[in-house]
Parts: sequence; C-alpha cells; structure tokens
Amino acid sequence: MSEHWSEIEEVGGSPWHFRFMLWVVCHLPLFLVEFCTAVICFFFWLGAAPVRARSKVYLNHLRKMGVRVGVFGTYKHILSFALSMMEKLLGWKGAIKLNHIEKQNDDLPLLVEQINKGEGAFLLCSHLGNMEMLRSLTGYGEYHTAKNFRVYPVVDLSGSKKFNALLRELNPELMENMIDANSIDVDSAIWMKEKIVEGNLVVIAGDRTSANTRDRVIETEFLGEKANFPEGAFSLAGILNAPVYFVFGIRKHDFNIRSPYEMHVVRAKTSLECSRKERPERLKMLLREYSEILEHLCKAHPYQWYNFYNFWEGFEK
Amino acid sequence: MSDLNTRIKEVIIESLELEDITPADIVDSAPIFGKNAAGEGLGLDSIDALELGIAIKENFGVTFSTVKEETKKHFASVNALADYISANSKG
Repeated sequence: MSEHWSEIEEVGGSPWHFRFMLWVVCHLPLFLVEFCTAVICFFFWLGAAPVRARSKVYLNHLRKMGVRVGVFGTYKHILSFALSMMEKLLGWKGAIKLNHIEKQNDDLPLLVEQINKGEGAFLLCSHLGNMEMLRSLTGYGEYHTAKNFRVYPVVDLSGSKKFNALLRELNPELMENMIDANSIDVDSAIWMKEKIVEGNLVVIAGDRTSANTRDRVIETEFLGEKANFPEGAFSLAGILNAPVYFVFGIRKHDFNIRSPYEMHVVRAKTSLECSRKERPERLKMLLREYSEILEHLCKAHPYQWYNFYNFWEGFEK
Repeated sequence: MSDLNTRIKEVIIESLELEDITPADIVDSAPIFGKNAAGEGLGLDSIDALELGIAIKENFGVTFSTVKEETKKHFASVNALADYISANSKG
C-alpha cells in the first residue's frame, strides 16, 4: 500500500454506470435510492478488498482513540461515501435543498458579519461530510447574509474525471466557479486574491495532499499518529492574505440523504502576518488548529470522512 | 535595461524577504529557482514562485501566461525576467 491517492483509479467503470446512477437518483423515491445504494454497496464491499483495507487503516486509528467501530465498519464507511455521491448528484441537480442547517454555537455569525461587510475570506474545508453544503451559504441570501457573494472552490479534478463530467452536465454553471488545484499559477492566485477582496469566499480542502507536488507536505499528529497534510492549501492562506476560517458540513444522521446538516465554522486564531522566517512555524500552528477540529469531528462522525487511501503512509510503526 | 534588472532584484529581495542579500549579490544570468551547476542561484521553490509572481505583477503590471512551462522560462533568470517585462509592459 505504498500508493499515493492520485494513483488509485476511480471506481465505477463505464459512463453507462454513472448514467444509470443518475437515472436512479432522479426517478426513484429517496428511500428506494437509499435501499438500492445499500444493496449495491454490499456487493461492492464484498468485492473490493483494497478499498476495505484502506478504510480499515482509518477506522483502526479511530478504534485506538476509543471510538466504537463495529465489525461492519468498513461497509458503513463505503455506504456512507456512496450516499454522499447520491447526495452530491441531487445537490447539483438542485433536487435537494442544502439549507436544513443546524448551527453550532461557533464563529458562523462572525463569518456572516464579515460577508455582510463585503469582506471575503479564505476557508479550509475537508473531506469530512458534505463540502458542497458550503454552497448553500450562497443561497443564504434570503435567510442569513445581506450581501450576495460567491463560493469558489479549489478542487483537484484529476481523481474523479468521469464523475465530474457528469456533474458538469448537470450544472455547467457551478463547474465554472471551480479552480483546478493542479494549475494554480500567478494568474489564478491573483484572480483568487481579487475575488476575496470583492467579498467572496475561496475554499480549499486541507486534508488531501496534492497530486502534483507530493513533496510539499507538513506533518502533524492526526488520530494518534503523524500524517502528511498539504502544505499548499495552508500556504495559500498566507499568499492570499485573507482571514482564515475552518468550515465543516456534516450530515447529522450518517446514513440519511435527507438529514439536516451540522455546520461548523471556526475562525483560525493563528495569524499568517509574519516574516517569512516565522512562516513555517505559523503554518504548523494553523495546521494544528485545523487537524484538532477535524479529529474531533471525525470521532463524532467516523463514517463521513471520505479519504479512501492510507492517510498515514510512511509514518506507521 | 540594467535599471530594470536592479528593480527586479529589489522586488525579489523585498517580496521574499531575503536577508543579507543585496541586488549586487544576485547574478543576472543565474537561475532564480534552484541552482545551476556552478552553484549560483537563489534556490527558491514553487510556492516562492507564486509569491514572487504576484509581486512582479503588482510592481510591473505584467501578467504571466497560464502555460506552466512558458512561465518557468520567464523566471529562468533576472535577465529572462527583464526581457519578458520589457517586452510585455505597456508604456
């Protein structure tokens, strides 16, 4: 298992599979969709030993931290992921609303206030739960923010080409707002900077190392063992010179697509306004803040973390 | 031309907070990123490049094409950067 996640091939063969998936999602009642997903996942689970093994590495780390994970943990993990795909398709189609949100007693009002003032922010999200839920913030207009703004996600699109092609078809407009993480250059960095100054949000996941620059990592303890996190995602916060928030959207009920969402928003305490010499240390502090929250939420919702590769590669005893 | 070179070096030093380095210490033809066989060069990396690129854009008003290989060429040395800036800046 010495593979980087980007070398693992996308599961799901022909475009036909995805078409079928889309048809099912669009035409059957949701409880049937959930039922079918559970059955299909069971057979996938039986056949996909490598996926099971990778899922197990993660779940074992949780076990060691005292989280109860049953014998069917890997099945639940895969099922939860499959449901999140359905959820994503429905979201892009506009078929489910993402605004059943349960606010926590955290920094969300601070972020909303910032947006209302016309100031943007840089958000670090994760592969925990539903990242898309962030988009619901833009639909917030009616309910939560006084100002219109957009969310620009920085995404590595290389890992799931077929699925993304389908998403593009469903909603080309949404795809346009995406920034390809593999082609960040001076132009796109300046563009992001401008977008933030105009009062928008730029979002990137902080828990998956880059496919292009694998050596640019920062390590920190995660679920009891050292792991690599992407340096680029955290450095970008410094380069864009914007306020940093950690944002997590999680289904309250792990195995229910219609579940309300828990929305967690935490403003980063670490400031990156410092000399370059101090910066590595500050980035580490920022990462530490992030990984602690992520760890806490992974323990609460173990099956919603969708990184199916060995996150602790190279560090395991 | 040499004026431009000096200004570029100042921007490099300022934006990357290079300590103990003056414009005179930077060799015009030496690589900005990494080092050449003679051991010359600043040894900067890709994240530095991004920051430097932003500083160049803010100071000289030139932008860089999204083709990565081409951008790399412009950042090959202070000389290459000066050529690119003088060819692309308006006025």
